[in-house]
Amino acid sequence: MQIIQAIPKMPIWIFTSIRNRYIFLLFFLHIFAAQAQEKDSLTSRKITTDTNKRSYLPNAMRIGLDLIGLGQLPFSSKKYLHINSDISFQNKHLWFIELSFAQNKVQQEATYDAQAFIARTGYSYNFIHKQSAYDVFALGLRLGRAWHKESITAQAKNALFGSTEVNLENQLTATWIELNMELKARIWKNLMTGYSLRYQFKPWQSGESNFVPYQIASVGRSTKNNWGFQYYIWYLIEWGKNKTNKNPKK
Amino acid sequence: MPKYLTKAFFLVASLLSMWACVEFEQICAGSVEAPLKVNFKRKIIFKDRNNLDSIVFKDSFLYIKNIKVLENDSVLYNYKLLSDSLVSTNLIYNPLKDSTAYIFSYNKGDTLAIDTIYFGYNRQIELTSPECGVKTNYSNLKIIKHSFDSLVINNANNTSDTENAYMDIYFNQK
Repeated sequence: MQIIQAIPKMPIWIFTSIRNRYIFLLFFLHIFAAQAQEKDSLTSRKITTDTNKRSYLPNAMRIGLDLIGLGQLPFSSKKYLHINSDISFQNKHLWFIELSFAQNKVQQEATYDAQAFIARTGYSYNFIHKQSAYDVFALGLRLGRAWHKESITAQAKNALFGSTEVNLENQLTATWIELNMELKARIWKNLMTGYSLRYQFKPWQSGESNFVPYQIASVGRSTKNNWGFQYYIWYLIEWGKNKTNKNPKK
Repeated sequence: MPKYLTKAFFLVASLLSMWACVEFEQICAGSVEAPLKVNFKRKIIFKDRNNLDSIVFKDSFLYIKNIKVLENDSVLYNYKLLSDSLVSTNLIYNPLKDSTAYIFSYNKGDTLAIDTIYFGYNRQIELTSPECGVKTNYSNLKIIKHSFDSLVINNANNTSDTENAYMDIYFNQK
């Protein structure tokens, strides 16, 4: 009886938004991909690469595209395009360059429009480089920099003094440091999938500011620490003598 | 892929997926502008044995008839009963200008007293959220002129997160 009474009072876990459905779809796709990958004998693969020799030379590179941002492009007012690439040194040391283009326009009580170009660079250490020549579970640091502008159009209302239309724009540069965790797994030939989870510290901002900076599109609030999440698909490019055998015999 | 990695993979992904599906209700409490609080105080001056002044400050109250905006006569406060008194009041900043002026009409003894206060400040617009709109933040509060006996501004730069700028108005009583 209590359960029945509680149902209407439950917090609304809304599954109606297209974005949320898309994220769930990605998640389930990922489960199937990982299951297929286990059958692909990745779990028991022995690395044929000699990681001791020439470990100071890069031997692979991954280029990836964020599927969440890509999936939102046609139907959301939040438009993100994240490109992630890393240079791999025997799958142990990973040096990253990431580029993002983001736009966010919201028309409600206030009209808010933000655009940003974001570049990140940094290093991650792969903790499972001994177990796998492809898979990645890495932790690292990034330095992020955003060139962004944001504008608001709204009515500033006051009961005693009336109201006026506010039309302001900020053009700012933001710099921040972020902690980064990446999980990547090979699903088919040179294709890899996985995600990137980041904790972005409050950015330093400079530039022309006409109102309190509100947000860096795709990063989060300008005055707070922010979490970030991207789901990527990567293409692996290998070169050199240390090129890994993709179909090793057990 | 190692089993522990698979577990970590799914655990993080499922938690994030759940989080992505939660939509919180928007509450616009943060879009309320902080007013300028004014406290009324008495300054009592005693004479000691050597005929030197000894000053005591005490919280006080005022029989205010009304408080009006000087420039447009908008009424901020109007009394209902003759016995209505205030120990403090909140003045609203003008978000359209860098200064505001108020007229206080109040009973001082048996007479009706009228005092004015002009104060200035810096303004900065802040977007609370696209759903809640904008608000104005005020800082560097300063008194341009006034006709009260004396007054003091506290926390004028609005540096404290917990306490906004406020003003103490003193009435002399000998």
